[in-house]
Order: sequence, then C-alpha cells, then structure tokens
Amino acid sequence: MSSYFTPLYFVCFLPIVAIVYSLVPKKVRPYILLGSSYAFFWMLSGKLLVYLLLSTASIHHFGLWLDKIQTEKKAAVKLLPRPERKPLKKKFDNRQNAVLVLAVLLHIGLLLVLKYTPFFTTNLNNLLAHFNIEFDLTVKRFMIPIGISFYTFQAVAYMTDVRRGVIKADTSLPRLALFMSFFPQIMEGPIVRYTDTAESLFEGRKIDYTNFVFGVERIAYGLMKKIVVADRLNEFVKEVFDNYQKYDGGIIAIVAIAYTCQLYMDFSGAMDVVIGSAEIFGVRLPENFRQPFFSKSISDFWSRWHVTLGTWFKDYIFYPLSLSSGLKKLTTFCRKHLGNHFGPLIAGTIALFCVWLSNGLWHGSAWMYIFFGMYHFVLIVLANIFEPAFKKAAEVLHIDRNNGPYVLFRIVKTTALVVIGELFFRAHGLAEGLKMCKKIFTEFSFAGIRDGAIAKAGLDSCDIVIVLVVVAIVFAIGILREKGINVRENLSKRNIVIRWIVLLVLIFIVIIFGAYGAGYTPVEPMYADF
Amino acid sequence: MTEKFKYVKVISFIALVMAIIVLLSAVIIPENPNGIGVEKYEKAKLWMLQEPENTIDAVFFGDSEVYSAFSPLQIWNDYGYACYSLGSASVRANQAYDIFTTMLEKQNPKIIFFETNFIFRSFDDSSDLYKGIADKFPVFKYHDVWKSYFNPEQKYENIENKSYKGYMFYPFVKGLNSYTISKTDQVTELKKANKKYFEKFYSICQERGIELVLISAPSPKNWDYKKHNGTQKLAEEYDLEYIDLNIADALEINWKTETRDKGDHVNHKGAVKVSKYIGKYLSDKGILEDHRGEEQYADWDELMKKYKDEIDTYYGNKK
Repeated sequence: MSSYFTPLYFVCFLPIVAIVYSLVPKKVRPYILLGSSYAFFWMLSGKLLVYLLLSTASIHHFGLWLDKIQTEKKAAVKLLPRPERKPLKKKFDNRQNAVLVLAVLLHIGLLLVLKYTPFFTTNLNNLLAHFNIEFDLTVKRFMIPIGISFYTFQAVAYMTDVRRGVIKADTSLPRLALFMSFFPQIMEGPIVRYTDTAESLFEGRKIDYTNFVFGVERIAYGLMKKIVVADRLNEFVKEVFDNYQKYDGGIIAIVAIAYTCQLYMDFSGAMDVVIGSAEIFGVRLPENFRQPFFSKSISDFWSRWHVTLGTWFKDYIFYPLSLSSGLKKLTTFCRKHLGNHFGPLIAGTIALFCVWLSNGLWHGSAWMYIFFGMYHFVLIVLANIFEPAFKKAAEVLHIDRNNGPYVLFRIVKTTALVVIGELFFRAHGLAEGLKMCKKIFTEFSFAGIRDGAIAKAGLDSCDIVIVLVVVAIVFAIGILREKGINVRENLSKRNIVIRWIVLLVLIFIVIIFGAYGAGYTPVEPMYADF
Repeated sequence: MTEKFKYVKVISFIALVMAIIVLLSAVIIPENPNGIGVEKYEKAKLWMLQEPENTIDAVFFGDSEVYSAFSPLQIWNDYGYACYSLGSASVRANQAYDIFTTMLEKQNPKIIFFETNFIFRSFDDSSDLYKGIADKFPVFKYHDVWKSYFNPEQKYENIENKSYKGYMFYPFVKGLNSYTISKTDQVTELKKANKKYFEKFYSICQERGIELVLISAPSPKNWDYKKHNGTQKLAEEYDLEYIDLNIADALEINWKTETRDKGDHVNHKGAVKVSKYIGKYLSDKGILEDHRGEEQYADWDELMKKYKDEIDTYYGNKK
C-alpha cells in the first residue's frame, strides 16, 4: 500500500479495521486503532517506524519530566513566604525551559538532518567551490519516514503545551502513541493538538450509523476531488511544466491555474478522506481548508489553506517571537519613533519573516521553496504597510470596501497572486519558474489554445468538461459553506431516497469518471512527502 | 430507528452499489476491448503480439530505457539477427511479469537481455488488487469507454504500432552539461517484492532454457554505482552475466549530444552506438542466425526501408 488512495485501503484496510474495531470490547478498541496505525505506517515506511516509536517514547518522557518539575515547583513555592517565591519560580521555569529546548532541538534536529542534509551540504559545496576551496562534502541522503514533518510538529506542540501548562503531561504511553500515529492523518495531517484528539481517540467510541454515513459521504466527496479532478489534470500539468519551452504564454497561464486547482483538489480531497475515515470511528479531526479561493487577501488565504499548519506557525513561532522581550522592546522603541501603525509592524515583520522562512522550508529543501515562502511574506508585508493608504484611498474615492464588486475584485486579485506563487512551487527550479512567469506576460497568445495544444498535452475536451463540472460542484458547495450552510446536516434531514441518490452519484462519478487504471499514471498524494 | 434497521440499511446500500457495479460491468463492454481499457504498460505487449510466432531470437526487456537504447533494426542491418525491444514506460515488476509471460506464449527467444532499471522500481501491492477487481468487474477497466462516444477516432489509436520492432525513434537532443561517475562500495538492494518477481523471471528462463543476461542501459539520471553494485550482487547470486553499458569502455556516449532528455535516455544517435555494441556482442557470442533474405523475415526489410526513410528525413531536414 502506498497511500489511502489505493484499492487496498478502501477494499481491505479500512473495512477490516472498522469491522475488527466494532467487534472487540470498548477497552480494546484504542489498541486496535494503535495496532492498525503502526501496521499502516509499516506498510508505507517499513523499518523507519522506529523513528516514530522513538519520537513517541521521547515526548512521553519529556512530558513527564516537565510535569515533574512543575509539581516540584508548586511544592517548593508553597513552602516559601510570598516575597521569596519569585526567584525560586524563575529557577524552576528556567529548568523547564531548558528541558523544553532540549526536547524541541532533538525533534527538530532529527527532522533537519533527515530532510535537509542534502540541501545544506550541496549549498555548502557550492559555496566552497565559489571561493575555490577544494573541499567536497559527501551529499548524504537519508530514508525519510512518512509524515515526519506532521508528527514532529505534533510532538513539538504537545511538549510546548505541557510546558505552558495548557495541558497535563499524559501518563498513558498508548494514548500518546495513538495521538501521534493515528493512521488516517499520519501521511498528510491535519496537524492536530493533543486536546483535539487524544481523548476521543482513546475512548473507543462505538461506530454509530450517523458517523458511519457522514464518514463515507466525506470519503466519497474527497475521492471525487482527487481522482476525478486532480489526477485527471496531472498529465497536462506534468507535460507543460516539463516542456514549457514548447508552449506560449496562454497555455502557461492555463497550466498555472490548472496546477493550483490540482493541488487544491488533491490536498483538500485527501483531507476529506482523512477526516471521513476518522469520522467513522467517531473522531473529529480539525478542518484544514475553509474555502481558500474565497479569500480577500493573502493573509486571509493562509488562514483558510492548510489551516492547521498556519495555526501551528502562529502559536509556536509567531507569538513566542512577537512576545519575546527583545521584540517587545523593539516595538516600544519603534512605536515611539514611527507611530502606532508602523511601530508594531517592525517587530511583527521580523516574526513574520521567521514564520515564512519556516513555511517555505517546511514545503521542501530547495531554494524555490524558500522563494515560495518569501513571496508570500513580501505580499503580506506590503499589504500591512499599505493598508492605511488603501483605506484612505477607498474613503476619498467613496468606495465601500464591503460591496460586491470590490470584494470580487479582491478575491480575483488574491487568487491571481496565489496562482503565480503555485507556478513557482511546481516549476523545476527558480530559474524555470521565472522563465515561465515571464512567458505569461511577454508571449501571451491564444494561438496554442486554438491549435489544440491543451488536448495534445493530455487534456482533451471530455476531460475539460468533467473537470469543469466537478469544479462547479465543489464551488457550489463552497458557496453554501461560506454562507454558513452545513450541506451534510441538511442532506441528513432529507428522506432516504434523496440521500442514497446523492451518495450513489458521488460513488459512481468516481468509478466512471475517475482518472485511474487504463491510460493513467497513478499519482501519489502531493503532500505525502512532507 | 432500531439498531437492526440501521444495519439493514447499510447492508442494503452496499448491496445496491454492488448491483450497479455488476450491471454496469455487463453493459460497459467496448466494441474493441484492445483499444479501450488498455493499461499504458500493456501497449508494448500488444505490439509484440503482432509478431509472427517464433520469429524473435533475442529480446531486450524492461522499461523506456529499452525502447530508447536498443534498436533491433540496427542490429538486423549489421548482422541479420531478429531482436525485439520489449520495453514499457515506467513498468513495474508485477506488470512486467504479465508482459513477459504473454511474450513467451508466442515466442521462444534464445537470449533475453534483462534491462535492470525497472527491477529497482518499487510498486504497490494495490495494483495487483486493482487488476483482480478490474478483471472481475470490467466497469473498473473500461470505465473510460464513455470518452469513445464523444471521440470515436480515439478508439484504435492506443494500439497503433508506431515502433520499429519495439524501438522508438527519438532523435531530439536535450544535452547534459556535465556528468561524472562517482564510485562507491554502497549497494542498492532489491526490495523483497521485486526480488520475488525477479526469481519468477529467472525460473521461467531456466525452465525454458533461455539465456538471461542482465544489462544496464546508459542513463546518468537513473543509474548509479550503488545500483551497479546491487545488480552485480544479483548477477553473482544467480550466476548470470551482467553488462553495464554505463561503464563500458568501448561505448562512449556523448551526453551533450546523444541524450534526448538530459541523461534520462539516449537519443537515436546514442541508441545506434548501443545497438552496434550489442550487435557485436551477439556476433562474438555466435548463438544467433542471420535471417536476412529469408522469406519469413521479408517484412523486416520493408520495415527497414521505412526506418531508414524516417532517419534520412529527420537528419536530412536538419542539414
């Protein structure tokens, strides 16, 4: 099995786990989930499971260690008179901080070594060569366990939350192990917090009818997005990105949109399958997408796209940095000299820079990913700087910033910026990304479209119709969600005939119009290598 | 709603889905099953099946490296040996096994050159499961048939044989700027599932008395010394000959001009060099017959003309 988009997962793995889970006593159910999760991990990464086991054992240990210091602190503080408590508290806090730093360094260090060694050594070699220093480091490549970035971030969040006193350290190793390894989310997230799932996962809730139906519906919806749209677009996207020199700017603009659509359908489709699978077992995972293509700005986009990654960066990088004493002092200084708008912006921008550098690197160990992060950083910073000017301009021109056409303009502008960013994300290196982007603006033409270049590149008229129909369905559901209408709740209130027809249509759209089998190359989930 | 009724509903729904799948499987049968529902990897098999029975003496077997690097007509031109390049792009060991066994139903080659790139390619057990399901319920295999109602001309395009005895003529140049081989003692081992299939290939050749030779086509992008060491180990384990064209002294591929995709595959010029090298190897071995002039092989001469025309047209236009 290579992912949850394989027949083995839907025909064998998930049904068998669900059946065994419902047959065993409640107390045993969490262990069935844990065993299945390790089996799933083993099927994807084999012996590299040891990394996950070590990571789990270490956070269990570090959590208890942090908790022990906290308990000692409380006990010691109680014994002292109030005025003498502060220095002692500080001493214990420093001990806790040291333990946390050690724990985080171990986890992030391992992630950096496994994922980024080739990137760092190659660049170091290039740098040495640039200065004519004859020293060549061997570029070592390690085998990377599946989902390492996801579970490492969960581990760091867990330990930090224990340190902050948000949660108590978990004394149960199996519960912590299940929180770290739950099979639907191990590959592509969402990145969950301990409070989100640990308890409900370990409760061993019964598989009930409503959760089962909701789960199956959600899985079918996700499969439609991934197999009908994302995989169908793959051949066209691959052909044009591999041979962009052959195509004019018009085709390149279309492929940039097609790739953005492919990425969204692939990743959000995967999340539907993940959330649906968890829902069958009565576990609610956090949503990772909230209609990102309705965003009015780039910051808005990132609060709707890969939500759990964004909130992780916010909670564990942005806020700790912004609230650090150094940046606080800088803010006070800048506020005095630059005023209330630009003053806090300086410190915020420094924290934001760290977030976007990390975000870029998280997506991959190459310069183009760093560029991808910096691209969004610059767009957000520019928006922050010019916000007062835009506001004033709107007032002077009597433009209501909340009226329909203006909001639509902002949505289209944001989407265009996102599409350009994704073009760089997919291109074979920064230089090719720049060349492709240049072509859109300097060689734009409809000639390629008229000559049937899209069909020749792997997307014929039938494919286009299918893609547009499914995109329209997803868009319509997006509008309803944006209006706060819960489509599934509404559907569940309808009579059984309508509910069955909807589910059957979803299933058979996937079977008939899915891009699988004859003539298609299987496409691995795009976020599975992170 | 009682618990029992909920179970009845779930089971009824699953039964309904299965009933529709069975019904659609009975209805969706394309007019030409060879044209629609053909897996990409199966195309090479269907082309091979167009060859008359027991006419092929040597087979180059593997993935795209095979149809790019080994030109049977070049060898035919030089020595008159009847070779065939049975390569299928990105083929996995389990798919290759299907092609291999089908080929041996119709042909009885004396020697098979087993190109090693594909045997290292990992594959998903799910593809075997999918094949099993698709064989039982054809709707999964022919689900794309609806496309042929809108594009009737596409129906037969899939199996049109555009090759020269399996070889694909790719003259384009997309050079590699620099290439150095770094030697290592490290070994890339075959994965368990791949080894299992390799043993199957090996056993069939043993049973049929076919000589199996391991060969690595020149490909800086796919080949490295670790794979060389892994293949060497395999060759020693099974007592097979191993020819690594990536380090063959007499074969000097110019990676600036003789690759079509930056070192992934050789282009036609590179393929001519490789084929001349292998032709000489076969000639030295002396196990194959020269079939030129034989009536049964008349179509080889006809195809040879077409092949030369295409080469002349391409390079002639270039002049």
